[in-house]
Amino acid sequence: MFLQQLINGLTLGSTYALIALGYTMVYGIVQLINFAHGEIYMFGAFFGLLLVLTFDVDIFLAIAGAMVFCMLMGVLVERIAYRPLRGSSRLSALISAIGVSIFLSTFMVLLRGPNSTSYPSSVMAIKTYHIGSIELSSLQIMILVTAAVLMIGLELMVKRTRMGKAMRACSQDLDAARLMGINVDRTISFTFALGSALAAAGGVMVGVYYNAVQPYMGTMAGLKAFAAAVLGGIGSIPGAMLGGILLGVLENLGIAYLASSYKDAIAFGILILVLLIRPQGLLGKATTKKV
Amino acid sequence: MESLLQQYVDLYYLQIVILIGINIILALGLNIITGVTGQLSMGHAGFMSIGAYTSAILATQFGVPFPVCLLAAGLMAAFMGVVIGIPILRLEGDYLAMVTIGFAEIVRVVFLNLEIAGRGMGLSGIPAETNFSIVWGLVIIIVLLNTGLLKSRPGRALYSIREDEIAAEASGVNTTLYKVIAFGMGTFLAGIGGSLYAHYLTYINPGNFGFMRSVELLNMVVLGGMGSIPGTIVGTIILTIAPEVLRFVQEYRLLFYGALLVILMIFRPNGLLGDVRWHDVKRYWSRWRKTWIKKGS
Amino acid sequence: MGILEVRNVSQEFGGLLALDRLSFSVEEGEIYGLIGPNGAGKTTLFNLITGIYRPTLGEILFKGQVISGLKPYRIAEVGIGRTFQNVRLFKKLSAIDNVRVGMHSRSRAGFFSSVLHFPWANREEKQMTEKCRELLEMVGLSDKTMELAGSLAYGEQRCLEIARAMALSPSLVLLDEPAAGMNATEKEELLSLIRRIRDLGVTVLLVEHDMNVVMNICDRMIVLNYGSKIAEGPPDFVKNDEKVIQSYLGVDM
Repeated sequence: MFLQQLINGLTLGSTYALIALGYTMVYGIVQLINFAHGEIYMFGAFFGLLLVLTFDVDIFLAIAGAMVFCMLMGVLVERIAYRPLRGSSRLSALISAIGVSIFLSTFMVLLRGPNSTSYPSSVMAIKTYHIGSIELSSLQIMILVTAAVLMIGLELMVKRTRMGKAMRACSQDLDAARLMGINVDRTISFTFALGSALAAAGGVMVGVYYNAVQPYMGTMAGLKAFAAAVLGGIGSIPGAMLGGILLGVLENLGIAYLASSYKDAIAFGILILVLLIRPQGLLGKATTKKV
Repeated sequence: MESLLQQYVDLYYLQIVILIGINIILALGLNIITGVTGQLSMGHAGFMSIGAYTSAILATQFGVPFPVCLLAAGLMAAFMGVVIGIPILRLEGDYLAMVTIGFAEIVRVVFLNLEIAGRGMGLSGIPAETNFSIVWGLVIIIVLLNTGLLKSRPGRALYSIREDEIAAEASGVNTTLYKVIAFGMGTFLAGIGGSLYAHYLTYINPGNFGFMRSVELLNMVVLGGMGSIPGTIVGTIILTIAPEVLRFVQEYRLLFYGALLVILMIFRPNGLLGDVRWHDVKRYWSRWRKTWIKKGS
Repeated sequence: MGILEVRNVSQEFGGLLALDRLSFSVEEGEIYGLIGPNGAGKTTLFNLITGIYRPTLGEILFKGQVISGLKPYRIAEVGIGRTFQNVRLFKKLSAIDNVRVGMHSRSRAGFFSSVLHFPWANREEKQMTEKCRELLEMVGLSDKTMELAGSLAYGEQRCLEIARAMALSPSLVLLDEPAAGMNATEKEELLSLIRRIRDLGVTVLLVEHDMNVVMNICDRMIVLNYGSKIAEGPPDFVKNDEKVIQSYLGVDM
């Protein structure tokens, strides 16, 4: 029972982590809570569905396609709604992000109607393995492995490549990075692209896993992923991974052992408790106030 | 008053005007917290729902008269605001935003599960006590008190926290205390607004107080101009009317609403009235009048 | 017994010793200079005195009472005002409102009394406005009272910060590089302003990089390097100190 919940939690948590990475990377660089991120994830899920329905592709192609599509979308959103506001107060940018979020979810409602659709079963042959009393589906394995691969890839990219170095420089100090000859605009666009791609992968996988895709799926997922990012320490990439997985696992255990009707409250309850003890999040660095 | 209004004013417009009044009270509350003191709260609807449910439960299940319900709603929301505010107001900026979102979600889920609150069904049969005179009477009182507050010593202390917390503290402002007080006042108004809302709709359920409601209220404060009372009022009026005006575009309504937020922020990043001060308005006015008089003579 | 006593104070940041068992004492009514190369611990010391940090070791006494460990606003209340190295004004408030906030702990109108316009609260407000105007006049900003602090010129902002610190009616003010970014005339005016502050009976503790300013105005001074004291005394004495010349004024001299 416990192990089963742990596995279910890990699966859910790794998708939270994928979305949370986008929040944390963007926040790390431009200090913006990108409220439209949840909608990008939702668009990813729908675009994957579109690919499956029209071209009958398998799940991996659907994920890849959705990632590419959302990359473009993320860059476009940043270009239109956030870049003009870069110099103004963070709240204005936040409201703009909220505007984008409302726009995108309504757009999808108009396109597809408010009801949920499901991926056809042809997208992946799902086998269930029994190990003792535990059930493990090939879909869960696929999600865990894909999420792990993506996160390791991200980690390598950020640590090893030039672009990754530029991203890290920008998150330290945007102006200094600019003075050092880093193309800040491009780095920011790249960060949005990267975060959106990860969210899209999460979207397709969640869509297949829960067998439901609907225009408002991004709101709650986005809030929880943001909670995960904050839990791990916003701005910290390993923090987002840890926070996402932790939230997923604890939420599943909470549903199993406490009350399922309090599902949505569990993640936030944990978050508040953690922040009260560690205001900078689990892996965030406590900063001394600069005076 | 009410019958007179109903005789001459279309009920539809009257309802919108009442709704504007309720939203002004709610937004002014959030303005104290976020606009004036600079503490980003994205869970105002949570406190609003505490007020709404307190009032509705007292009225429907205990037969408590409306004015008592109204006051109890404000006090209950403020009590919760202070209790939650004391620990969380140490958090900065976006962490605070996240915690307030989380708190509002928890409140919503609790009401969704609470027997006395009617669970998912919500509460119905709440006496329809909210009318034009009560709402706008309260709006006037609150605006007057609020204006007095912001021009006074405690009001300036609140602004100073928004501007620079360290400098405020070095000037002798007990920032922790003032933040909690601001939170208490803001959530008190949220409770009052929630109660008025409950007795206006006569039926409430947890769905009325979701995250999007908090966001709407925040939009009103930021759109008009952070920390400015006229700004908040203007922002509230625009954003309350906007969905109604946009009704002709039917289901595209929210699409426009979203785009409107983006466009307004790009062109007026400080809000519509964000950088307009009475002092400057008066100065321009007198300068303009002088040149006008000169021309005349 | 000085008005400010720093006793054996150490401050550590994650293993790094920013101040190392520092002791000195400032006498009432003097202008006391604090100099040292970048990273010597000057601003850290200011932050310790004003309660932003709590010393790792040692204690700080003001008028004979221990103040280390008090919250910054309490320290403001006992009568220590300060300015900041990177000007920290309330940018979107008017100049006079900035000063009014400085008077926060010297006034007492609360939420009820000011919202309900109690007569004594109105009276207090009026007296406050008068005092604030005087302070703005003292720093030469009497024609800018209603300007937003953020729109003032840099030198004016520094002066406004001094006015705000003086609004506390402090017995001691801490000025963190007040002359930074000022031109020669502004510096002259600043010097006479600081002297006037001293003449009002306020003790001044001054961090400054500009040697002319420090040597000119200070009664006594202390030189810090890597968190410890290397010299203390009147400017003429300090100027000729071997260690000071080596570490601060450059080895070649």
